[in-house]
Amino acid sequence: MNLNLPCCFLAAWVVLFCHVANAQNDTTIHRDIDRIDIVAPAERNNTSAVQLLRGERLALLPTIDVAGALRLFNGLTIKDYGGIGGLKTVSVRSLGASHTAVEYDGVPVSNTQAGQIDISRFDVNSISELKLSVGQDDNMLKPAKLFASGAVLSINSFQENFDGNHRLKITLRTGSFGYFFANCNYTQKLPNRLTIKAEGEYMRNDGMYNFTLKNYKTITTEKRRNTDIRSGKLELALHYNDTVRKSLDLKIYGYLSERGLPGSVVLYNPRAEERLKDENLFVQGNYKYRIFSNLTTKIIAKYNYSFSRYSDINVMYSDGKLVQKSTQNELFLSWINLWQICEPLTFSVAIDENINTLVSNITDRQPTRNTIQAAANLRYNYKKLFTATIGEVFTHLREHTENGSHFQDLDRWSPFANVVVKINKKITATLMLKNTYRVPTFNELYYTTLGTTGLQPEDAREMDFGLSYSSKKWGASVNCYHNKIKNKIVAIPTLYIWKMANYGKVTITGVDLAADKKVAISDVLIDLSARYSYQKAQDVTDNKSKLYKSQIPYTPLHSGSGSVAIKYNDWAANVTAILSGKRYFLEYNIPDNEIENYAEFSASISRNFNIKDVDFSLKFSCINFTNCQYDVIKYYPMPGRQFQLNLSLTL
Amino acid sequence: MTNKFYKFLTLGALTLSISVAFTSCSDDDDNDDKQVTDPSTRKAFILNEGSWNANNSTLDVYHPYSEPTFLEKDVFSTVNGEKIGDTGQDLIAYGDRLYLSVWGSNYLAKLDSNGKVIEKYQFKADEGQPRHLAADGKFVYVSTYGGKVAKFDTTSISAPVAFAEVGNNPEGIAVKGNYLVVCNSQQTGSDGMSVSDNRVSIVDLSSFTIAKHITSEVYGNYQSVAVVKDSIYITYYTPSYSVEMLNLDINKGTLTPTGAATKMIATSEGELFCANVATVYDENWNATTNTSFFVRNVNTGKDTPLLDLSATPELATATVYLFDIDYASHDLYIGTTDYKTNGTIYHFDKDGKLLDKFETSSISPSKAVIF
Repeated sequence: MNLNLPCCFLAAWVVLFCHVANAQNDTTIHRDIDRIDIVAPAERNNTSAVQLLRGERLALLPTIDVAGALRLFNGLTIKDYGGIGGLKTVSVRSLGASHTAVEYDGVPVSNTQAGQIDISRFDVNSISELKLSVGQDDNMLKPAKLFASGAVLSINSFQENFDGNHRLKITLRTGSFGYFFANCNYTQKLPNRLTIKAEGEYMRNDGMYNFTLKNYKTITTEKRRNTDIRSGKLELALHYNDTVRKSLDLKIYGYLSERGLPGSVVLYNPRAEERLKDENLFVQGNYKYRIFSNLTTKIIAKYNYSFSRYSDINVMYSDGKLVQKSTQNELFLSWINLWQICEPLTFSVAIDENINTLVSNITDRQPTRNTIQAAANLRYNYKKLFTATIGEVFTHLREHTENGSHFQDLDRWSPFANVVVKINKKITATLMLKNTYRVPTFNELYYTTLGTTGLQPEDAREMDFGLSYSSKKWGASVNCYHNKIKNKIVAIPTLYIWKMANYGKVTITGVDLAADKKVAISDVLIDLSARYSYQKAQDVTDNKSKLYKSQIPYTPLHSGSGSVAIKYNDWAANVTAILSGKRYFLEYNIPDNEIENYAEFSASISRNFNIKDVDFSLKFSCINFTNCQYDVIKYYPMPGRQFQLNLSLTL
Repeated sequence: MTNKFYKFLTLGALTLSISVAFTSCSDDDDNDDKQVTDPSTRKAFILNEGSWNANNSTLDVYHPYSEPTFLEKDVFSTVNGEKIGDTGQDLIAYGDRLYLSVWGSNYLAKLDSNGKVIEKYQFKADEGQPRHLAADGKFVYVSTYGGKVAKFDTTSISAPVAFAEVGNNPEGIAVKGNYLVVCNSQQTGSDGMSVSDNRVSIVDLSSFTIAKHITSEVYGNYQSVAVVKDSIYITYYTPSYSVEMLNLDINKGTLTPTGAATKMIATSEGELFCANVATVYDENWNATTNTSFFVRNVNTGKDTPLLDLSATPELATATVYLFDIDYASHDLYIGTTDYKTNGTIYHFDKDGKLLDKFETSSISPSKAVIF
């Protein structure tokens, strides 16, 4: 596709906005507008850039996984290694995936070995809310670890709210490429405001989709291989809330998956033998107690076990195969206190302890990392017209290994500040400054010959200025930002092997635009949203290099998204568009290294109905209905047109 | 998937290891290079390895005798309508044909003098992926990362005529008399740990079986081999990943240290042209590179500086990835890489005067064949 993306994108949405705006009947605008559970992705009452998708708006999207939903957000790079089952990571404003913390129901999800979280395992069926905060959001009652990150992706599962004592929800889904998904979710209310929930999930997919391979002037249709995945999830949760002072959430989560890794498409060589098995079990608890009307405390505890087994078959290995096994254990504790000192002043302090271990045959070091982090925040809020927050995170990290050298001791401060000024009832201005960093992962430090124990943390500075407009009918925002990364941790080629090193500086300058519109025409409720991002992310490491000021790989200068959600009684329809300008897949910005721009359109239609006290929800989705052939990661072709049928019944 | 990422890097390292794998043509190949004598028709085929999993290996053709000189970029794609594929590994001229091995895309191709594919062999899974090439008589030999050397009849390379089982992941190969000298490198075990092979395999070309292994208690992870008259030079990686040279005596079964070089060219005049990229790393792997060029007199063992780098001071700190000679004119071709941007070729005449400098069409130029 040869699109002039920014122009096409903006023009299309301007036309659509104007058309719908003109068509609306003012006498009916206010009516039932709140019936649509739609929240503007760029929420305005926070202390920094926050994007949000939740409720029915999220459930009705054509996509089935979190990565698909996040692609509607601004300023994100979702690295998608191809279809269902492929690794998906999220990088916010080109900071890199390791600068994005992920929290699941308020508790951090971590992977100290790899540093980045694979978000492909989260299905939108089980999620009530997706929130992405750049810098800080307005929640001061959270672990220090989340204050220390450049961005936080919050994934919140459903908190059941229904009449009666119990509820059973069964979801079945099938679709293209041998896809099948089943989820069973049972919730029982108990005396004393206790609720228990049990959820089981199974997913399979063959994933052998066709794709178009362009080999210079030769164009062929090929089939993706070794793409199968089987996964299962079991979750038990207990929830207590006295509605006044105390709440308690306990959760046990188990996940298993076994999948093929199709790898990149290598011309003339279709062999793909890599397999990956994952096991994950965690137990987490979250207790909140309002001690006094102005003092709240929260305790979070988590134990996490994860195991991965990677294998490859090739005669280049002795015994003809490579098997890498890694086991990680994590213990996480956090104690947070929020104290409203007086009307305008609020203070919070959070102290975490995080112990991570790795036992693996990819290294003989067997590291143990003990991280203590403390975060203090002070917020001044003058009649909600002016809010200023300053904070500081202190990190004390000690690491030891069974054999050989280990990562240096680390004691580090990272400050942040933001200011929110409500110019009038509808317009808000925000300014955010934050210094953050990421600690090298176990792989970067210890992986066989690749790791380097002398690495320094990778530093990032974030600055964001935003203006937002919000009314009942309209929402719009503009955010301008400038980030700097130095001491970037990268793999560099030495004469013989690749080694991890602190090398490189990147500056990122960008603008995010967002617009949302809600319209009610008679009984038809329409929600429109449009996003556009401009992002210049340049390598400024060496001004004598050919790479100086080149755009870093996989970062489009222009990108955007849009969606239209329409609801009419029990019917709902949704159309989404994901647009990306050209990108480079290698550092050198020459035409040979370009990846073509693309536009992916998806649609869904759904209906809710009731038969004999059983609520049914039927959704039909067509993802990529124009059958656009594109790569997010070069030579990891994405699937073409896909169909999915989703049936949920609630008893 | 984490593992996959690091697998990428590990295999990238393996791919890079070929960087010092020297042109493995035998001295017979050198003679074949000399078959074309009309200077006006001679051209340099330059193989760019590309980067792993990017399908960006290319073949350029440089015309050094045209006025002005010029480079035809990515000739392989233009002539064949499709790309080379992933990580072009080695290129030799033999007879009136070129032979190209491509590691990632897993094939051997026979090309005509325009770069057009005449015939192609796709290696099977149990044969291993192709590495380096040598030729002798009517046969072309290919080392593979399956512990093998494959033997092809140049009449047709539609299928190998024989395999010799050698050591672990053989790299450079060269013909010496009735022997094929095979540099065994190292192999990743099932647990991901690498183990160096300390054997140089000697294959009897008549029976195409192992004649002997020359084993060292000190050295291993051999990379490239050059045959200069009666002398055989081998490069290997030290445990600290510097590259050094050994002198191989097949009869005595010995390997004797003889200085350091990362690239070698054997000339029929009994000289060994060498490039040595000596890189020292600090604890955070920041590199300090000192690159030198010299000629080894194989009779006296004396080294003489080869180039005056005053016109090209950047070469003194560059990573030399390509080091080849035009056997007819004795012009030198030196290619450098930073592994990220397109490579640079320096063309010197036999007196060391810089004649030309140009950028190739892809990353890491690794081989020049003047044909």
